Amino acid sequence: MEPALFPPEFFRALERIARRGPERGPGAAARPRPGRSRMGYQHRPYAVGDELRRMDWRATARAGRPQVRVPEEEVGGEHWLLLDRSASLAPVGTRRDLDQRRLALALGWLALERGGVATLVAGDGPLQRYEGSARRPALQAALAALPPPAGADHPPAEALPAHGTHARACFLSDPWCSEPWWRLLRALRPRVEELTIVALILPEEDDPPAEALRLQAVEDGGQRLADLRGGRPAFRRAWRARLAGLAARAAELGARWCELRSGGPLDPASAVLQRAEERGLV
Amino acid sequence: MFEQPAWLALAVLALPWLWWSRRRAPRDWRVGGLQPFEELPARGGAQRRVPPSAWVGLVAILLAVAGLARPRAGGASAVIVWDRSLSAGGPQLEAALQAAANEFRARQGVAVKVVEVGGPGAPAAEQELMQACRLHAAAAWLVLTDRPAPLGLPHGVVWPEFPGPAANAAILQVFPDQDGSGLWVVWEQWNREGALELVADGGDRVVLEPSDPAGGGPQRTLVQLEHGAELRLVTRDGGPPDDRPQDDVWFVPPRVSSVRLPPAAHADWDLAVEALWPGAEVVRAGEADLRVEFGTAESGPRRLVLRRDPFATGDEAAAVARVAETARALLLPPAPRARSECRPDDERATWPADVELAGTWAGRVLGRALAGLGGLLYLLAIVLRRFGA
Repeated sequence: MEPALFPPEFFRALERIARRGPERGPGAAARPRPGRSRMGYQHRPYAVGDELRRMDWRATARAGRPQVRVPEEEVGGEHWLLLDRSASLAPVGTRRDLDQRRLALALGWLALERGGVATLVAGDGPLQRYEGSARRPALQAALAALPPPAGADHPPAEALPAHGTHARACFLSDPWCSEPWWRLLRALRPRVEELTIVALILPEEDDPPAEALRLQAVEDGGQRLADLRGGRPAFRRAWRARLAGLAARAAELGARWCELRSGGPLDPASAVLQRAEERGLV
Repeated sequence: MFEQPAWLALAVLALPWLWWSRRRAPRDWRVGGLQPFEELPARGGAQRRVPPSAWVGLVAILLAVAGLARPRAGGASAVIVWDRSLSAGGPQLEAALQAAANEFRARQGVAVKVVEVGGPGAPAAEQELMQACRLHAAAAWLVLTDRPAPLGLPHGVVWPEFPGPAANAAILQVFPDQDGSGLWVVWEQWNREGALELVADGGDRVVLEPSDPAGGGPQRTLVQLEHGAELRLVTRDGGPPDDRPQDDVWFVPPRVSSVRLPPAAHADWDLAVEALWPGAEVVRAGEADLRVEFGTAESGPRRLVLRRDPFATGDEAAAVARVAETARALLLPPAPRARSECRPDDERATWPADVELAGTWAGRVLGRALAGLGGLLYLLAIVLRRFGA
């Protein structure tokens, strides 16, 4: 029987994480509390030492004396959730697909609850923007309605935030991300404050069965025979080298690289949340 | 071919081993990409279903099973210990023992060594039979005797039981009276009462009355019967007293009255004749060859021809023994019978715990070598399988 995508125990774990408190950082939704993140809508008279760029000339004209805008602290922030929905996400079983959507919901849910904005980019589908905690169910529904992973890597043509947006981006993928996505990420990086690349790794990708295998690549259809009975050390070397290569590419972009092991068949739905919390993703 | 063939049943383990070791067809496996697998050997397509490691393991299993079953490495791995004493005689018992021996030989399928214990004049009890088993190493022993099987028989010893008669009567000894008054007959009966009769083959009969009917033990009776006769114990009505006839008969050799020697016979003959047959006359007459003629009082002369004069060697004692041995069957009285051979005895001995039987050494060593080699080959098979061979 297909496991539930968002079972009750997942939300209990999510609630526990949410109770920790709001995160701080750049975002579009501001709360009126003193800070230095952005210019607020309140004014006060100019004092020696205030930056001239904070001068509000219209307010100065109205008041008859120099007025500056009061900077405010921003909380909640803007989060871009980019989901790789290619066939490599679920070569066998749906575990990684479910964990990707659960992690995406957790990141978006927490952002919305804290007053932020979540933008969902799933495969080559349209951008979906959610703002405010009331939109959490809509985000959940959108993630639940995503079609199964299929096809090759097809990042959206326009999936870039505007320059100057103090956003955080999180790319949820697998270790088989191809060049189109890397090009997008390279273009995305200058436009976001922080970019995290999360590679969800299946247990059988770390440790395939030690027998003769007839391999089939799910995206390009390539096939190959491989015997892991005597070749397991060679495979492990090649696998670690691949992951190291991906981490190096992420570092080259200035992105944070995070390897997250997807759960096994008996692991609960909240296992991905626990692992993400351990890695500091949530 | 094997000392313990029951172990060969373990050879069926070879079947699940071959099934488990077979090389299965490559398993279909979907992956996100092929790059990490490019350095691996592209095997698994047209390979043999049964890899070399499976055959090595099969040989290992068969060797180990053969080692456990202990192949026969030559020599007698089966021994028959045959009791030839008086108590194990008698036509009926001998036929049963022979049948048991034939069955044992057929079952073993290899050459069987026969060790005889005891003789007509040499008693044999459980101790002698157990000792014979210990002295002759084998994988299987068959003990043929009238004695009951001891308790605690070790593995490999077959001791069939042939229950003897519960009651018995026997002639233990017959010897002439020193005064010449007749023959003393020493006899005894167990688990039976009443008088018996002694019948000579000439027809003479003598009643043997137990001196103490309630007591027991050997009885001595002086009888007036002829020498050179066969004496037989019977009941008062003429039937056999028991089912063990071999100890109911006694042959009384004829008395030697004279010994006629060639003229050139050694002078020591006179002393020897006096020692063996007191009162016999030595006569030197006749032809030159060594033809010794024993004259008897009850029958005609008995002649023996010796190839050479035994007294000419100079060893007088050996010469006397040589003459006695040659003339034993004809003229000398048989040795007394042991009461243990005649007494019905259903008490069971106990096999001493410290008497160990030695199996066939060669078979044991070969078995261990095969089992060890099988173990090493099995480890090799596991290693080969680990590396995909």
